[in-house]
Amino acid sequence: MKLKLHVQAKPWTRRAAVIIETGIVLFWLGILLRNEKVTMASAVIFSYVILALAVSLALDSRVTVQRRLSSYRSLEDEAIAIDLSLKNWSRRPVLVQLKEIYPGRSQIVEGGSDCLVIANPESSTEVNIVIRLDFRGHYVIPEPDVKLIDELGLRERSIKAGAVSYLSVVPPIEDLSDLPPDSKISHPEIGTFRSGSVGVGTEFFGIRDYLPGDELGRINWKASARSESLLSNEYEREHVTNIYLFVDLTAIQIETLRWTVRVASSIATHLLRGRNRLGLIVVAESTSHVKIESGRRQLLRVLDKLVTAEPGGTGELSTYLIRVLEGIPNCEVMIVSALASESMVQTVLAIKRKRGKVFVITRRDVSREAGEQDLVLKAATLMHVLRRRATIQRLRNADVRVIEIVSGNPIRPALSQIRERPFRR
Amino acid sequence: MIRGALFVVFVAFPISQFSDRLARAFIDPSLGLGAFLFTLAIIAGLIAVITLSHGFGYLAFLASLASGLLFNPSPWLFCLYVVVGLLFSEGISSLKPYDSVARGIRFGMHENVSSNLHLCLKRHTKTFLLVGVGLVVVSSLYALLPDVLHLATNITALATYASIGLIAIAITVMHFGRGEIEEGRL
Repeated sequence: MKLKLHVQAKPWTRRAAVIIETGIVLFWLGILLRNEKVTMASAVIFSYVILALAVSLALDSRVTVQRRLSSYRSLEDEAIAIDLSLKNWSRRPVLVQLKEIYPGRSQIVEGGSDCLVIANPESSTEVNIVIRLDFRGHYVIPEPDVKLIDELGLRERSIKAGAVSYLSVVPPIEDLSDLPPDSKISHPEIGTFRSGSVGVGTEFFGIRDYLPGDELGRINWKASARSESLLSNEYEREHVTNIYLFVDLTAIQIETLRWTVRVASSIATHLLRGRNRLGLIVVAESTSHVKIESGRRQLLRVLDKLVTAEPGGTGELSTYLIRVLEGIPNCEVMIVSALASESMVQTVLAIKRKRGKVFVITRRDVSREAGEQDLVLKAATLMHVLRRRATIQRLRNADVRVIEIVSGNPIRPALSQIRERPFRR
Repeated sequence: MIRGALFVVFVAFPISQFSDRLARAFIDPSLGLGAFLFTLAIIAGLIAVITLSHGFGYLAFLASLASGLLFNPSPWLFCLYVVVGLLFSEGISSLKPYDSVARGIRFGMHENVSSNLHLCLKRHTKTFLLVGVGLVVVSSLYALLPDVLHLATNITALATYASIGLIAIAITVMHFGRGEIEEGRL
């Protein structure tokens, strides 16, 4: 039979250890020096420790912590309420010190990452905190650091409580559903692709004369009664256009990155909700590719790629990108880019050479252009603006449609300028 | 507010009780050293009040203890002096976690961290006052012990205090071990 002694970590803090050691030293010093006052000081110190232990709260309670987030998917700059529920299972109150480690880009709006709570016996106590994350991504909030302490800070006991939480922050998506529709023009689809529905489309296209072989269900009885001849409804496929969206995340400025992802997400959402087929290529630290598809799942895939893409890279046209372009015939190309680097401009021109029609949506930072006071910086900004205008003109000369959107402005008015596909059918 | 009150007591008590000794600091070398240590204690205490650093609080306590020994007051006065120094040092240091929480709070309608902290501070103040009052009473009893027991010599007084100290150490060690070691069987 073997016996095992399980020794737990000692609950004394370093401060308590120092004061107890001081008491012991004074005790022996008093005896050595035969000084009753020094020994008395030692007795006073130990009396303090004993009184503090007797009066302050005990640490032998069992406490569990549960973290709830108001939403596990939120938008950039959206407030996220965090509720920490502390359950004290013992019959004595306990003082709990909670330390939360929020992601680096988080900002505490209300409350704090550290908090002290008195958990009443056999009851739950709530701690409410509000945070905000200003940049898209998948975040992990580690389990809270929970310590049971006494009021005077002489003892502490770390406990394992709570669990890891996962939070996804997506860019805000602008609603573009009210872009004015244009006339419906049929568009031939070349090649084969997967469809979410079987048979002909379900979207109403127009009315034509009845042809033998038409299903009875397709006859428009009201229109037939008015015209006194049989008329059939005509439907079109849900998939209107094939679009590839190129997103340039090679920029370094955080505001530009945020803008690019927001615009790309809004456009992707709008086009996929309009039953188009959309593919995505993110030019960043590593090139990401989502194959052209339609539907809700495709929207989630596209948004996930936009959320997780790591900014960086050179933006040069890679062999992979060229192969992707060769493999996607008959589709529109839309590029969302800050046009910050020459290599990205070359990429746009290369795409234009391979494809017929290319749109570039880019950001114009008016506040930076107008707000600079320092003369040197103003001159540098002016140089940047002129260079940028020259770049845009170069693209326009190459028959690339460039749409500039002023930073901070909604993108809807800018996109409503586009009178062609994919925004018009 | 608590730290301000503690500092005022920490400075005012020795000045009021040892004013005659402080006045003779330039005549008597041991009193001069005591006055120097007392000044050191005040400076360290001031830094501790501002930073809530345990290191400076501890230094202030040690300096005040040493100056108390050099001023050579009556046992009762010495006991109270040690109690004031100890309560100052420990009181200031114990406020550190509360202060760090208070510094990080952003007030708002939906948070309750500040109200929880307020409750904890109330509890801290109550506990600290209880400990403080208890310590003053116990220390006064220690100081009066030789008179009560009619202890004639310093050696007998030393033996008495040593016995009290040993008992206190034993109680602390007993608590130290309680609940820390569990015996299990494989």
